[in-house]
Amino acid sequence: MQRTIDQDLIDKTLKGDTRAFGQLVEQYQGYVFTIIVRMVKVREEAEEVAQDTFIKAFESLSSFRGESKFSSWLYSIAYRKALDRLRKNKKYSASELLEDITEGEAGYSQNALHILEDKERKEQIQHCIMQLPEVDAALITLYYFEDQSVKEIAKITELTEDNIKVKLHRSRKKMFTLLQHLILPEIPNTNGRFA
Amino acid sequence: MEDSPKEIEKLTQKWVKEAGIEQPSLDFVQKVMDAVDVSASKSKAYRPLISGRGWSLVAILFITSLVAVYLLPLGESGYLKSIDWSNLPSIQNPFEAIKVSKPMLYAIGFLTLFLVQIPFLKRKFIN
Repeated sequence: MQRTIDQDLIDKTLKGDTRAFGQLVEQYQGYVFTIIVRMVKVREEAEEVAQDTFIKAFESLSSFRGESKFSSWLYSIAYRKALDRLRKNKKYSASELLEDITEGEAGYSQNALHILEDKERKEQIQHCIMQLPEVDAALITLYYFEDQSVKEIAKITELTEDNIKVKLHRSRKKMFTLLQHLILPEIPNTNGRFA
Repeated sequence: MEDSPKEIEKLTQKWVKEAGIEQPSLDFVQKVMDAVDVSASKSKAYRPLISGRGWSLVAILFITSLVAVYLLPLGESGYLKSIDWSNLPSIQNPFEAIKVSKPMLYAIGFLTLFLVQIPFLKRKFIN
């Protein structure tokens, strides 16, 4: 259903109706921006990258063959643009920082999260996703929020399916650890870095 | 109490769904559309004055007229008969005196090939 609506808007855009493209932007801006902001971590930069993504999509819309979903095609542009920006900024610090965090002590987390107010909990979760390494944050979003299959994510990111599975597994554990540190800071960490 | 991998998987899904999506600033769509309009007008500006179809039309007209000159019985038409042909200066090949050496011919040939390649290479690398 969504596919035919998208295709209709794409056809109109290709015939010169830029307003139809505006509808596509409106529909996908949140998803595209979420993936990008979780990768580049800075809102202002993420907006620029998201804008570049849509412009690139507009310019190469005629090359979209409809073999995959329009959203997947759009996310692959967003992912590559975000990676380009990260390379330009040489910002891979978050990934190094996180390697130091221990992955144990995954327990208690869900109970602790229940205590928090809804809004606060949402903010904490968002904060945790932002703490994940750039690519992992994108994978978690695509897999758990967008319900994209590992196969589709492999096409979007050009990573192998095994690599994606490993990264997802690692990210889940990291998210648990991070939430634990945020919510239950009194539990001592084994390496003593986050007391 | 340790969470099982399945439990972690389920909770991660729940949390990521709960985190929802982040929205860009309110004027985001407007900004994108402004840029898109600029991009759209730019692509219009680069359209060549004579289109591919136009060029083929010119070529067809040129060839047709050449063929027509050879085939049509010009000598029998009334207007051409009225001209006194004997007064016309004889047409000579103006380049008769020019002698082109073989290396020069090769050079011209390579230059032509090079110039013909430019549009193809441009198309390949710019897009």
